[in-house]
Amino acid sequence: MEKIIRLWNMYYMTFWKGLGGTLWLSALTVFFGTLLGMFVALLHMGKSKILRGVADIYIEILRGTPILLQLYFFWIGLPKLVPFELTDTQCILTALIVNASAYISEIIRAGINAVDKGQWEAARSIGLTETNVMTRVILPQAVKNILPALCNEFISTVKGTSLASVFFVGELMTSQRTVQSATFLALESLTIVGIIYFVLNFVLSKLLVLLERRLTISD
Amino acid sequence: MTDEIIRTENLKKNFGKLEVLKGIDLSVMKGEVISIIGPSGGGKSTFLRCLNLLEIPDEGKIYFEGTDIMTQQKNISKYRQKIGMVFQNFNVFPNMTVLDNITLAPTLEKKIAKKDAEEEAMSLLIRVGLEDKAKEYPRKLSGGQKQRLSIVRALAMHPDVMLFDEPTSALDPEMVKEVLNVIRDLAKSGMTTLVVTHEMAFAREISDRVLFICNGIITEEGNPETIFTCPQAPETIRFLSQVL
Ligand SMILES: Nc1ncnc2c1ncn2[C@@H]1O[C@H](COP(=O)(O)OP(=O)(O)OP(=O)(O)O)[C@@H](O)[C@H]1O
Ligand SMILES: [Mg+2]
Repeated sequence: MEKIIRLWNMYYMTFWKGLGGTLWLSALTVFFGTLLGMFVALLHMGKSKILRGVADIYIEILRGTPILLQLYFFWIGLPKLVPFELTDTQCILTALIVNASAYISEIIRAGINAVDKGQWEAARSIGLTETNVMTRVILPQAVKNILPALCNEFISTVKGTSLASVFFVGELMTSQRTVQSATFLALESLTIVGIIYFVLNFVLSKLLVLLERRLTISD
Repeated sequence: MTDEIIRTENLKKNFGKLEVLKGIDLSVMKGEVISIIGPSGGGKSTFLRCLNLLEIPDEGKIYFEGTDIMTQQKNISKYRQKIGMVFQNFNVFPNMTVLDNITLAPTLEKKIAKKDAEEEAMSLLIRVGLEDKAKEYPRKLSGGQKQRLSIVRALAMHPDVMLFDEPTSALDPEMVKEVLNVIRDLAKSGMTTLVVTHEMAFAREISDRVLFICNGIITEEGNPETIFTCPQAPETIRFLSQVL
């Protein structure tokens, strides 16, 4: 216990930085994952059979293979695909975004499907274009279903980003590895990082409960 | 009353193997009030929904003021603006105020200034006795009030035709009247109206013509007196003896 406190006192800056990296990485992942996921969801629900199939395969592959494998894949493959230089962080972030987009597109699709079919019909019957039906009537109602699930996704992304430490991308787990190799105090530094993860997700899930309550009150 | 506004020819619709409409021919005159009655599952709703292309027919033609609308599917939303529809379950937009429910389509699709749209919405609300609810959200409304709202939401687009699909079936008995009164006034004012209803007395009172749809075809049609006092087709006789 004493060792842990001493370790914290010596290296708290490193851990803080790692936490910042984790939050930053997660926020970017969920934000861009949502944009990409929205696009995939629209393809998935669209009229074209071919595009629907493409979206389906995209989602199935990303959900059906381990995320660590995907990270390696992007880390090695992405720099070969693009004509410009990429940092490790950029490759890993891209992989995280692509991975999240598969889950988020399913969240969005479920949220949209949960909106009463009658709302589509009413919106169409007053002569709204398909775009306006979606953006003015359906999506605003779907957001209520989507938002809580999206916060959940953020929480699991926070945990998922720990895998980025394999590639030494700046985040919490990586800071643990840094501290460990400097001090050889493996269990102690793991404990500190574990506590940080736990507190972070505990706070996040409490916030989520609050948010859900807010959303149901306004119903 | 002699101009034709809608005509369907041999209209057919299947859901998978189920033939729901088996060839409906109908000509609707401007200003005409038509009631559609018939047993459950006969295809009444499907027929109405085909008229504004909420369902795309598998065969046959729909003409609106002489134009074949199935060839106009790119302008489908423009076409639907001319046809108001009122549903059994109201389908008002729960996330918008009463006023926004009404002004949404006029401001978005007709580019009417928000202020003008609201002014007109208010006068429509006055017409159906909902003026003091303008700023409320629909969850504060009773079923009858929701249905009146859904009617004025449709009217705000100045449709040429109004379709009603069992507008009072989801209402508590004491609210049926307030909704029927609105529909009656509308029909009397010369709006071309097609209404699917189980309110036989109402159908008899307001209609110029009654259609009996059963098993996907119009098995009998005529003026309300004839249909209700001496129906000819055996299906109509059986149906009326059950509901009257
Ligand atoms: N989207 C759909 N998919 C599959 N079957 C459908 C669909 N819509 C309607 N049907 C079927 O088509 C038949 C006719 O339905 P429709 O709603 O037009 O009847 P209806 O005359 O309006 O009946 P009701 O008086 O009960 O409203 C029914 O058997 C119904 O189950
Ligand atoms: Mg019906």
